Amino acid sequence: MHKESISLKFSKFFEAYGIGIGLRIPHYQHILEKKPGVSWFEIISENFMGNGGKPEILLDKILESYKVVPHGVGLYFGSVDPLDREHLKRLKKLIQKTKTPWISDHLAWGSVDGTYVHDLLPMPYTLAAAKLTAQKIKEAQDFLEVPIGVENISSYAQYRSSKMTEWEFLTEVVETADCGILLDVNNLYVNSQNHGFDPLAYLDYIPLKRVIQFHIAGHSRLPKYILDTHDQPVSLAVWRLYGEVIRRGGPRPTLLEWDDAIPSFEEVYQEALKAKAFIDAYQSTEPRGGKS
Amino acid sequence: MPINLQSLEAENPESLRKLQRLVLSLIRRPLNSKDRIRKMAEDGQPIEVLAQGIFEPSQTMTSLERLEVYNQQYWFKMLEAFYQDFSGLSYLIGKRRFRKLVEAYLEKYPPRSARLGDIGSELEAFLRENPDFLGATTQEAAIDMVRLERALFRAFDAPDYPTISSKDIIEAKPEALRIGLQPHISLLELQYAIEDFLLSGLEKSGMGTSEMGIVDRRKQPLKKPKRFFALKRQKHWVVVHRFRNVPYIKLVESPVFRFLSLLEKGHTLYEACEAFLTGNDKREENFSELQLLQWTQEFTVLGWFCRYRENVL
Repeated sequence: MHKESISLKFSKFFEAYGIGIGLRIPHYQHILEKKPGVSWFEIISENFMGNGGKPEILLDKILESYKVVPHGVGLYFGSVDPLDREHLKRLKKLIQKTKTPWISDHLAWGSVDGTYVHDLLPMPYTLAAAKLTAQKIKEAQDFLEVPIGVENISSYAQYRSSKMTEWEFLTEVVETADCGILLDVNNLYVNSQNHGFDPLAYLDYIPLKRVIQFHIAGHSRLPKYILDTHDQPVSLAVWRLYGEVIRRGGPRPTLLEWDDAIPSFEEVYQEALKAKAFIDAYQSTEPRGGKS
Repeated sequence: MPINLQSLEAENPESLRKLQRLVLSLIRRPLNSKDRIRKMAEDGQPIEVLAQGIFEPSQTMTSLERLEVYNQQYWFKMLEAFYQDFSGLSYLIGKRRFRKLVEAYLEKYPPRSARLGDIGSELEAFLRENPDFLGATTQEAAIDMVRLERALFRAFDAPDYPTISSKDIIEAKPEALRIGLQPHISLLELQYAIEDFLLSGLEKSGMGTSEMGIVDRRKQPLKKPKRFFALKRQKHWVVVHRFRNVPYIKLVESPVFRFLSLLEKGHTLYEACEAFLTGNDKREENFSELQLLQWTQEFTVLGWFCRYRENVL
C-alpha cells in the first residue's frame, strides 16, 4: 500500500460505507422480505466459504441489495503454522463475489501443527512474533489483492514473555505488514480494564491513519474481569472512547457486532446508528471532508 | 519430562511454536466435572505451575484463572457446536455420555480445519472404532444417527449444479448416458427408524416438519425427543436432499435406492434401469417400467440429476 494515500483511501471507505451491522441468521428473513435501508453488512467469512450451498445462495440474494464486507476468524496470522493456501483460495473467491474493497481478520493465533482451537488467542508481544505475524499478513494481502484490516482482539491473559505493550505490538505488526487496522473500540476498552492500562495511551501510540474500520459491541462485567460477549448494547464508556477515536483520526466504516441474545433487526440497527451522533459531532467541527 | 519454561520466550519462531503448543495442549485439556480447569496436565505436571510460567497474574486474577478462561471458552464452544450438529445423537445416548464421547473424539480427531462445520467429519469412523462410548445404545443406531445428521449438514452446505432435464435424458442413449446426483444428496441405508426419533424432537422444538423439511437445523438444536420414544429396528432407505433451500429426508424403496446408488457410482442409465427392473420382479408386467418412469420424472422435478462428474465435492 502507498503510505501517503492510506488515510485518504480509508476515509473514502467511510463515505461509501458509513454505519453497518453484522449479518446474523435471526435477521435473514426480515432483511430479505423488508429490505431495510442499511448501508452495509459484515459477514463472518468462514460461514460463506463452503461449497456453494445454502449460505452462499443466501449471500447471493443479500448481494443483490447490499454491500457486504467479509470479516474472518480463520486466518490466524499469529500462528507459527503457515497460512492455509486452500483457505486463502476460498477467501479470494468470496472477495471476488462480494466485490469488497477490504477484508479483515484478527491479530491472534489459534492453531499449531495443523490443530485448531476455533478461538482467537492472544499473542506474546515479542519482536519475533510481530515479525512472523506481519510476514503472514503481507503474504495474505499480496495473494488476496485487497487491503487487510487486522483487529485488536479482546484478551484475558498476558504472557510473561511479552517484551512490549499491546499497542507497540500492533503498531510494529501493521507498519511492517503495511496493512490496515480494524480498531475494535470495545476490545480496546475491555483490554484496558482487564489489563489495567489507559486506552488513551493506546490511541496516542498507534497509527490512526491506518484504521480502516471500527467495531463497536457490548460486553459483560463479571466479578473478576470483563468478557467480550456481544450480547447487549454498547456501554457508555465504549461510546465515549469511540467519540475520542473519531475526534483524533476521523470517521471510518463502523460496524456494530451483536452475536448473542440477538434482539430484533430494528433494535440492533438503531443501536448501531447511535454512532452517527459522534460522527456528526466530528464533522461539525472539521472543515468539509474532515481530516485525512 | 518437565517443560523448561525458559524455552518459551517466543524470541524466535521455534520457541514461539513451543509456547503455542503448550498453551494449546492446556486449553484442549478437558474440564473437570464442575466445568473448571483440571489440576494436572496430561503428562502429570501441575497446570497451576505451568500457567504461572506462561501468564502474568492480574490484579484480580491468578495466572491459572486467566488460563481457565480460555480452557472454558474452548470446551463450551466445542460442546455447543457438537450439540448443534449432532443433537439427535446427544439425545439418543444421553447428554453426559455424549460429552464424554466428544472429549474422546476431539482427543483422537482434533479440529484440523478453520471451518467449524468440519469438526464432526470423523465421528462415524470414531464410533465404529469405539463402541464403548455408546452405553446401551446399539452401535448401528448411533452410526445411523451420525450418518443422517452429517447428511443433513451436507444438504445444507453442498452446492447445486445445473440440472439435466427429462428431455436431456430421453434424447440420450441410455447405454452411454451417465447421470450425476446433486452434491447435496446423500443416499443412506439405515438399520433403525432413526429419522422418526429426530423428527419427534423437531416437532417438539416447533420447527417446520411438514414433508420432513428441516430448516436451518444446524443453528437450532432439536428439543429433547419424546421420553419413551421406541427406536424401531427397521432396515430402510432414505435420500437426504435439498429442495428450494430446505433440507428434506425422503423415504425410498430398495430398488429405487439401488437405481440411484448405481447412478451415483457412475454406472450408465441403462445399467441402473436394469438393476431396478431386476430388483422389482415381484411387480406386474410393465408396472416396473411405469414406476421407474414416474420416479425418474419426480427426481428430475426435484432437481436431483446433474451432469456426472467424478468426485463431486
